[in-house]
Amino acid sequence: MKSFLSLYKKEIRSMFFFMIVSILIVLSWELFLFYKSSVWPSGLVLGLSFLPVSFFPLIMLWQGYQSYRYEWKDDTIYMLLTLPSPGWKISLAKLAAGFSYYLSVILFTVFMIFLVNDKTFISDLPSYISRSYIYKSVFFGGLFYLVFGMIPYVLSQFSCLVSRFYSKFKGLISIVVFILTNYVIYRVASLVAPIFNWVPNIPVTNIAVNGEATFQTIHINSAPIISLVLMIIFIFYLGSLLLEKHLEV
Amino acid sequence: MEITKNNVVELKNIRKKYSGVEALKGINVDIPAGKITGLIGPNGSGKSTMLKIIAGLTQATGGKLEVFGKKLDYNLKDQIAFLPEINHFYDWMTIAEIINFTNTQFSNFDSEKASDITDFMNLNSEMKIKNLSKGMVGRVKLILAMSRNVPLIIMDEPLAGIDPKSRAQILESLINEYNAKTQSIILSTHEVLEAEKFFDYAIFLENGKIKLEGNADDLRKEKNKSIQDISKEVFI
Repeated sequence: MKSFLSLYKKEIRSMFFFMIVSILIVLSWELFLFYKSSVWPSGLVLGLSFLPVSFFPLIMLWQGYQSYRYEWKDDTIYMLLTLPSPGWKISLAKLAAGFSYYLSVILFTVFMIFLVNDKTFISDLPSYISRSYIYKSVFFGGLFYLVFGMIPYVLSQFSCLVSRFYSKFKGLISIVVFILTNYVIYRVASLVAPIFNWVPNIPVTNIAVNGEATFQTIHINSAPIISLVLMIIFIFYLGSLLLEKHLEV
Repeated sequence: MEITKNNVVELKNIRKKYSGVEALKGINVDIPAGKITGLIGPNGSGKSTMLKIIAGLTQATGGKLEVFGKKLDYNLKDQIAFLPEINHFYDWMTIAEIINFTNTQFSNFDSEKASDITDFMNLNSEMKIKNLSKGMVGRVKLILAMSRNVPLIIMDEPLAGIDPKSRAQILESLINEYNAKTQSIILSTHEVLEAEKFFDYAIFLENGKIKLEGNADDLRKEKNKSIQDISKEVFI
């Protein structure tokens, strides 16, 4: 545990500057919108305040790729490969740090979105949309976004590791591996999904406005989600094995 | 860990190819336990590749490697201290942070010893790696390797880039900390003249092949030459 925490701290420290820059960019953007909220239509401000959220999965994709690329670039891979730690522990420390980064920027952005829109758009919502309903929706939406945002991180990390077997065109190989792995995991996940049909579906409360507002409960099929998550765990483990047993300096 | 086996490392027909170029062409050698083994050879002879294979940083294309009589895996790396030729540290870390990081990763790291050697080497532990000279980085690598109570220490060109005065100091401290009953050292170096007095065993490597190997004293007696002169003769 001590060695894992130390690896995790090292990863957090490596991305700390990037984390601060990301938060400052989000802060600047949301403050700009806050300033404009009295002038611009509230719907436009709300839509624009979500803009940073659309970039985060792309940042995670880049972070996943960089997480190992810089180790080889700076020769620090020598240090990692001499550690008496299994590959999964080293990769998990990187994943945990990536997750921490992702979680902190999401939490900060959601907080800023509330702050910017609280006095305008959110206050103007119809009375049947309660505060608790909004918080619950944001929580579950955020959780879903958080879990699925880690997919590009794991896949780009795996792509980077595979590209290390080649001495040339590493970037191009990473892109090809990333696309192929995406295709394969979604195909296999859809084939495996029926095995998990016994798992209860996820109930989600939805508001339908058809003349008058009514609350409906819809059910999201959990089987493809479970099979996709298992595929991602498999790819993560495969990458860790490559690091531990086959990759070299 | 008391050394019980005769050989600390056994390489059987080890081969290594890099993009079609053969760096090691079937290395067969047993590295004796409890001795300082000098790995001598010109640039590109395969010294670093051989050491990286023993340390588990590079995979052999063929052949069999045994360290302490076992197949090398990540658990065994706890018993090996590897000191690479290049600077492999995170440049944003301070010396103290690197020592602390190493301490958390290896079960046999002695923090007090690290602190003593840091003082002996005249290094300020609050200095960042990016602000250190090549020679100072070399000293940090030595601190980390020598502060671990491990049966095998592998050093790839530990004296490279270090001024002559410091080289003597480093070699002296290296020998002071070395315990022949429990430790073995494999050391590759270009500075044969300075290091040869410490060698118990010598391996001469050229073009990925072993040209000569044997007990250092036996070689000196047999050829009536120093290891430095033998290396000149072997690598003509």
